[in-house]
Formats: sequence, structure tokens, C-alpha cells
Amino acid sequence: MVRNVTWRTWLMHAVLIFGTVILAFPIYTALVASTHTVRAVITEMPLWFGSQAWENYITVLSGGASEVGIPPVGIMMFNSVVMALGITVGKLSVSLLAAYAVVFFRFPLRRVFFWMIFITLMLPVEVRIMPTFEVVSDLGMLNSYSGLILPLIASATATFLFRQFYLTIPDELFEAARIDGAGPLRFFWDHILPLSRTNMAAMFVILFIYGWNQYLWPLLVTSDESMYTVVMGLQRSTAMPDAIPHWNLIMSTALLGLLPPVLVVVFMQRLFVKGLVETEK
Amino acid sequence: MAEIKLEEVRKSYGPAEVVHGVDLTIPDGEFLVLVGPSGCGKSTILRMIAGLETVTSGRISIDRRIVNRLEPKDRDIAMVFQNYALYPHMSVYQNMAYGLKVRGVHKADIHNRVNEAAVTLGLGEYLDRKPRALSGGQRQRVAMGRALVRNPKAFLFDEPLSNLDAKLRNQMRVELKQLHARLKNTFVYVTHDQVEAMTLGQRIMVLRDGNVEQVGTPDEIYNQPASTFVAGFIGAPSMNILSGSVDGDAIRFAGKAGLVHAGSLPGREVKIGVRPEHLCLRKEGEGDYCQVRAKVALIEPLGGDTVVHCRLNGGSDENIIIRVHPDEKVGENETAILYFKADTLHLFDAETQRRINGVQVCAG
Repeated sequence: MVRNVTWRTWLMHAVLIFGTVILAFPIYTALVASTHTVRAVITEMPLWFGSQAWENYITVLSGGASEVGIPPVGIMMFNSVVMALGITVGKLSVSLLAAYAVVFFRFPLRRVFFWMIFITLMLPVEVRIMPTFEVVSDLGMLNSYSGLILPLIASATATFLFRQFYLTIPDELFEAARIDGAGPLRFFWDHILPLSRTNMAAMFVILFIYGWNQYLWPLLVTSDESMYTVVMGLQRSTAMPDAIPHWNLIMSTALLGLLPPVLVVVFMQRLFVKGLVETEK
Repeated sequence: MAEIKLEEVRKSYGPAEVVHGVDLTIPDGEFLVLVGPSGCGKSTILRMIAGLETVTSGRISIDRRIVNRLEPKDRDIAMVFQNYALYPHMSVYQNMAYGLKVRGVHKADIHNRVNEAAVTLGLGEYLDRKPRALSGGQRQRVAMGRALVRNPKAFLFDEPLSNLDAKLRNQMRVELKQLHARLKNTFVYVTHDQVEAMTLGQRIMVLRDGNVEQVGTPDEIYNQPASTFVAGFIGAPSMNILSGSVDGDAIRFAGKAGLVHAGSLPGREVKIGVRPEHLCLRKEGEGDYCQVRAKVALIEPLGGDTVVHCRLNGGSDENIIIRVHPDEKVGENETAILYFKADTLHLFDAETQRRINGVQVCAG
């Protein structure tokens, strides 16, 4: 038995290590590439770190990479943060309130409204991109934060998640609050929000990464370089006409662009897991 | 402190009427218990008084003010729920203070009232805890404390002890009674447990399928049940109900045993009710005893007394339960003669199931 277990333990670890290597390799490559000169990266991809790391990151951060087609990273990062936070906060507020309406209020066609929200799951931005663009451009919101954020703000997924959570809140809690004198808004603020804390944290992580990774939409509505986001800016910089892409600088930018979502995950991991597995009783 | 009055109160869900016209006046300071089996409408009535359910028709007034259209918060009542309904994210202190905070009571005043209630309920050292760190009995106390600090016109209780274990329930029952004696406030208490109803209520309202079966003091309910339903519902083990047929001025039941009655009976069939404790295995002193023969089917010793399940002889195949002193020696499958005094029995109309009053009976 003992030998059997050992053998299986080895096998399991081998599989896990193999998977980790596959997942980590691209990031490793990016890290290595960001420490070399462009010549070294293009001629023969080195497998170990070089000595250019400091120079590369300084160049990228100081905006010195503009001449090789990479927009200033600082501005792009700022734009990305604004967009991702805007989408996250917007989605959370809209879906918290939408779910609250659907669960706690009796109004005509309540179920119809819920299902109408639900079927928008089938209509992500990519599907409705033409009409959405038309609306945003007619409203004069091209090249603006509101144009980046507003069309992505409604979320059926988050609404559904919060609805499921609200349904687990016993009716008596609402009734007790009514007798205590709390109206609907007060109940939402004093009870629903604190109770949804862990769920909100979990949704925050998911939605922040969703917002951060937006590519197609920013590509469409921003033409001014000062409104570029990191993810789309990167793509732009690989497609310079008549020039060699500066992969070392692109990789530095990519790694910088990776940092905020990683930080969000690292710092919110405990709340995130709690929000997904635990319901506060 | 307030009188609560219900006039012809009805409640329907769609086409289904669940409360069929209830009239009731609860005087200021009374402890009234609404009791009945599940689905009898007792909770619905309480929730209508609280304002959590709308009233389909009729009028509810609290302190001579009609409250039909008032929000719960404007009725100045407090309610204790079966599952306590404590706010899980708030400490005990915050739970009790919440109702006052919403009403804009001054902070220092809230502090005094919560601490006073906490001392009363023995919660002083738990004020900083969250409800999930409390036992069931403590949570129940917090729920009561939340009602107490508000000092409302009336307290409403919706089966508050049902989630507690038997021992704690007895203890809390006593505390509730003492609380009422001290506050002298109007209490309306819903339960399905007849022991709670009998011990707590100054008056009891027995409900069945949305109809009022009887309203009265525990003594009236127990000793003069208005119907076979009340007779069977109140008291444990419940009252024995036997069928009897009227033959001239005699009533025959359990085969050939008989009674003689004086007065007019409404029909040819009657129901005869006898409480288990009024049956005995031998005559005690002189008295007007009836007797029936029965076969002992099952014995349940409870310690303080013994419950004996018997099957009546004489082809009627009726069961009868008696409660006797534990020293009584009786064996299963033995045939026994059961005695009861004629003046302890209750007569009911077999058709309407209502009590028949004013008919004297004696053993015959």
C-alpha cells in the first residue's frame, strides 16, 4: 500500500509540475525577453535573463518607447485602471440594485423583467457591437471614459449571482427590519449591502479582470492615443508598419500591464474564495 | 399599552379565503394566545395585526386607531419571530439598538435602554457578540430584547419557542410569563403547542381552518370545550370521544353501558367526551359512577403517572386512553373495568360537533 501511494504521489506531482511549467512558460519568456536588447530578442531568443531590465522598464515607463510605436505606459495604465474600475463599480451597483428589485419587490411582470435581464447573457458586446457603437458615437462619447465604460456596465451574470444570494436571505429579516422601521432603501443599505460583502468581493475580482482585459471595445471607440488602454495599446505596438517590433519593450509593457490584475487577485484571494463557497448565516 | 380590536377580519389569497371573519377584542395588558394546528390561520392573523399582511376585509384597530392601511413601523408594535430573524452582521447591541436608531432616538438614550434590556434578559456580557456566536436560547433573548427596548404598545410573538429544545422551552416559557407580569403590556402569542397556550395565556383563542372555535380562559377552554375539536386539541393525552346513541331518556355507548339524561337532545346521535384523568380503575368513595369494560392494549409509564391505552369491549371498537397513578397494577391484554363520574363527562352534538349545554346526566 505504502509503495502504491508513493508511486501515485509521484505521478500526481509530475502532472501538476508539467501543468505549472506549461502555464508559467510564456510568463517566463516575457520576463526573460524584457531583460534583453531588441537585437538579442529578435536574433536568438535567449533562455536566461539579460542585463537590460532596468533600461527597458525605464524606457517604457518614461514614455521613451513612443518612437518605436508603444504609447506611454503610464497613461495607458491609468486609462485601463479607470476603465476596469468603472466597469467593476458600475456593474456591481447596477446588478446589486437590479437583483434587489427582482427579489424583494412585487411589481407587474417581475418574472418577465428578470428573464429579460437573463437573456442578455446571450448578447455580449461582440454580438451587438454595431448598434452599440452607433449609439455611443451618436452620443458623442467616442474617445471618452464614459464611452469606454457605460456600454459594458450591465451584467446579467452578476445580477443572477446576487439574486441567488438574496433568495437565501430569510423573509423574516426583511419583516423584522420593516417592523423596526427601516424602509426599502434603508434595508438595502443597512442589511443587504453588509451581508453581500463577500459576494461583492468575489464579483469585484472577476469583474475587474473582465474590465481590464477588454480589447475589442476600446479598440473601436478610442482613436486618440491618450485614451488607449494597455491591452489594446500592446496590440497596436506589435503592428508597426515598416518596422521591427521591439519585443523587449513590448514584453516589459505586457508585464507591467499584468501587474494590477495580479495584485487584485493576490490581495482579494481570501475574500474571493470566501465569497464563492461561504454563505454567512 | 393598548387595546387591540379585530372586527370581521378576513384574509384571502386569490380565491382562497384562509381567515373567515374573526372578531376579537384584546384588552389592554392581556396575554392572549392564538392556538391551533398548522394552517389554521393563527400566524396570518398575527401578521395582519403586525401589518406584514394586508387585511382583505374587516377592521383592525390598535389603541382605538384603525391600522388597516398603516405600515408596520407606524403601528408601534414589536414582533418576535420563530427563527429570531436577528441581523447576522450586527452585534447583539446593534441588533437591539437598530429599531431605535432608525427612529432617530438619541444615542445616549439608546445606550441606556439597550443596557437595561440586556440586564433584564441576562445578555450583559454578550453585547459585543454576533448572533452566530450565541446559543438558541440566547438568540431568542436577543430577539425579545429587540422588542423590549422599543417599549411598544403591544408585543407579538410568532411561535417564539418552537426552535428551542424542550428544557430550554420550559425555562423560556416561565421567563415570558414573568416578563408579561412585569411589563403589563398587551401580548399576542401564536403557538401550536397546547401546553404553551394553557400555561401562558390569560385567554386563549382556538382556531381551526380559519374559523374561531372558542375564545376563553384556559379554565373555560379545558373544562368547557365548545366543540369536539377543542376538546381533542387541548389536553395531553387528549380527551376520549366516544359515540353514543340516544334511546328515549337513555344514552347508550360502548356496547351496553348507559346514561340517563334529563333534558332534550338535538338528535339521535351524541358524542361523549371524557378526559383521561377522569377515568380510573376503581371507585374512589361514593359517587355517581359509570363503568365500561375494556381490554388493555398498551401501557406508557411516564414516571409521574401512567397512560394506559385500552380498547373498549362490546363491538364498538373504540379506543380509550386513561391516566392513572403509577402504583396501579395493570397488565397488557388484561380486561379492566373503567369507572368515571357522570358529572365529569362532556356531551357534544354528533352532527355539529358542538357542545351540548344544560343537559343533566347520571349513570343508569
